[in-house]
Amino acid sequence: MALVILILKGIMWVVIGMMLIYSIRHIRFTYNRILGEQRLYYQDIVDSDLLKVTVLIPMHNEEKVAADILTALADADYPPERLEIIPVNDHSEDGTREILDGFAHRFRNIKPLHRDEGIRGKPAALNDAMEICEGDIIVVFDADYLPPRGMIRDLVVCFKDPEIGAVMGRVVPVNTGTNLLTRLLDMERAGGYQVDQQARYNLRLVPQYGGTVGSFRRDLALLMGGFDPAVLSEDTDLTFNLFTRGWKVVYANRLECYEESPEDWNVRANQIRRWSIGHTQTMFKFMGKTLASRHLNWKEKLDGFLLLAIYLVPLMIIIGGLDSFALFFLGEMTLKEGLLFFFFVVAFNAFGNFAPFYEVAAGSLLDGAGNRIRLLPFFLYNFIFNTWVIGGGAIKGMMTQYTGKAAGWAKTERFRGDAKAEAEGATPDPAAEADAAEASSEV
Amino acid sequence: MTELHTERPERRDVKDRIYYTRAYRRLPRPPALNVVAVIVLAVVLIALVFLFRSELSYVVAWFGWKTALLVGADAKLVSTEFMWTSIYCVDSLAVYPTWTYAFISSLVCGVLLIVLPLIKKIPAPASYWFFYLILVQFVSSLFFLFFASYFPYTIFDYTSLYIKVELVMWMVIPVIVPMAVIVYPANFFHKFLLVTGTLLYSIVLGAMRMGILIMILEYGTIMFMAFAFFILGALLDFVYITGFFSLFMSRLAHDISGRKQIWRWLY
Repeated sequence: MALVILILKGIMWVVIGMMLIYSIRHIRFTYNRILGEQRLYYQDIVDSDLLKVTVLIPMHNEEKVAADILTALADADYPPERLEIIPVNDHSEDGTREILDGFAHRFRNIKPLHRDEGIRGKPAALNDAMEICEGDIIVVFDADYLPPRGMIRDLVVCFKDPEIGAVMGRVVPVNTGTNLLTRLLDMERAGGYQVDQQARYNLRLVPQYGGTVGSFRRDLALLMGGFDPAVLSEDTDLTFNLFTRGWKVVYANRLECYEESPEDWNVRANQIRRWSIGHTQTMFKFMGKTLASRHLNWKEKLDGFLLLAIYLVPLMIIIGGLDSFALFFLGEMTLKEGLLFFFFVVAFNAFGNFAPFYEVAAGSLLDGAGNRIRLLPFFLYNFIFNTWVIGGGAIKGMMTQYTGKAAGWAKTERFRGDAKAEAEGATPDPAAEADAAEASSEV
Repeated sequence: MTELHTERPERRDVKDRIYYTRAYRRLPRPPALNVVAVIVLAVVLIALVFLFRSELSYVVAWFGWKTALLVGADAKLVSTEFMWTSIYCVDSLAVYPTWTYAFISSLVCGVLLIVLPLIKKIPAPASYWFFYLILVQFVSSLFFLFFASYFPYTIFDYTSLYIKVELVMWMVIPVIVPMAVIVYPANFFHKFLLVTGTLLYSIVLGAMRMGILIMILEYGTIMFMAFAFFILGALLDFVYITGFFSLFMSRLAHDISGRKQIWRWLY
């Protein structure tokens, strides 16, 4: 029994130690973002020799949102002859195909790819599209995004720097005011992008390519074998693939793009569970490579290690909780055994999923969102929810490594209105309309 | 002949309203005096809590003792050693649940654990929280159903730990809160209000909570001790800490958002 108690206490101190390390890490990021020198993105580069770009938009049952993003991209401020837009219809069962074909009919550079066979999921869809596309640079958006006119130019200009393999912009929820969930997610995004990502970029650590509002070199991706269809977080996979091979990922805080946050808790659960599974899979794939890479300095290796392991934090909280439960009923409830510190540290991290309360508040302050900050205590409301769902996802991610069985791709449900009504507002391409008119006259 | 305008039109009023983009703006380092003052404040508060730890423990224990007497328990104030001094706690005869009571508690909790996930009308986060609360009580009920004689704690054990936790918390608050606000350009008075206000609130709430917890343990029996420890403990303290902090930050955000001279650009 003494040995059991010793082991339980040892587990407790390991959990406390890891969480203290993350707390210190986030304090460092917050101080840097608030007070430190900010590192600019490459937005001041003006170049007439623009790269050929392919925009990929993976879509599975996206009839609610498909027209919005295609309308926005059709109006993009980028030479049409150097811009190719490939929405990838991935095994859709709703009206997505018809919407995409409608846009293809009206815009010459929108070329849908319909996938009805093969593995379903974003990585496989991107792989198939990369095989047929012509762009040197791939820009990826999720279907619910609303890119502004200059976004493509801004996302691509950084590739004039030969060191850069990928770039990530900032995600800003558009449906912030819908309910408590969307408000909390807005704050979470502010902490994660405005503070965390920018600080990692400032400190020359490991800013992450996030899989949307981002771009990467096509030839590089193909050289690395494309995206692994078995891994649910292709973004983290690409990030570490690049860093461990000596390429850099840059973060562009100024490049803001609207997204649609989940408005339902069950939808949110599916989303974060998928992230957790994928991130854990990537952790197994790249932990050794990151620590052994000769292209990374010790700070990058340390930050890479902490970034890869971050989705284990909720699992550690669960383990620590069960551990403290056992110690309690074994009569080991004393200060010295660290139960107190466990709850302190848990509580310290509890407010704001992965981003402690001071980081989330700093993000909102920098955004100028004074009223939103008052919702900070409400993060306790979804603490157990996040911990359980993400912890469960991490376990499932580990199981996929053990069993070799792939985890299924769970699509995030959309909440926007009828997409067909939005499609009427798009500006048609005169050349495409003329082609269509000529084709119909021949028939 | 056309008159030439030799002076450039004044554009200052427009330029004053062009703020730095939020993407790369930052705040200036707070004045050294402000930083030193906050650190001194933290040290002073920690010292005060340390110096008066015995008296503070008495206040908290007194609330618990009086509550125990109110509910008819044979309770008394006792002292124990902590941080090189005597602190006060409450001791009374622990009320154990009967086997029937433990059985009913286990049964009710067990049924709720099964039924709760089936009730879709409850929002997921609330449902998870209820599940966690009921799970804690379920495990405790099962323990008292089968191993009641092995329960290792008395009321004294619990109250002494509670007061020790609170004393440590009162020395941690002057560290955590200043650490979170020291970098911001708020005046010292506002930071002083935040830190001392949070600490005072914690002391008052700690004392009142002691009374409530004693009442729970006396009425509900010590079967609820796990619930009291895991649910009504340090996690709740962080609710008001983040609450006060969020009010401070909200006020600061409103204060500085329209004042361009406060902000810095890049470096």
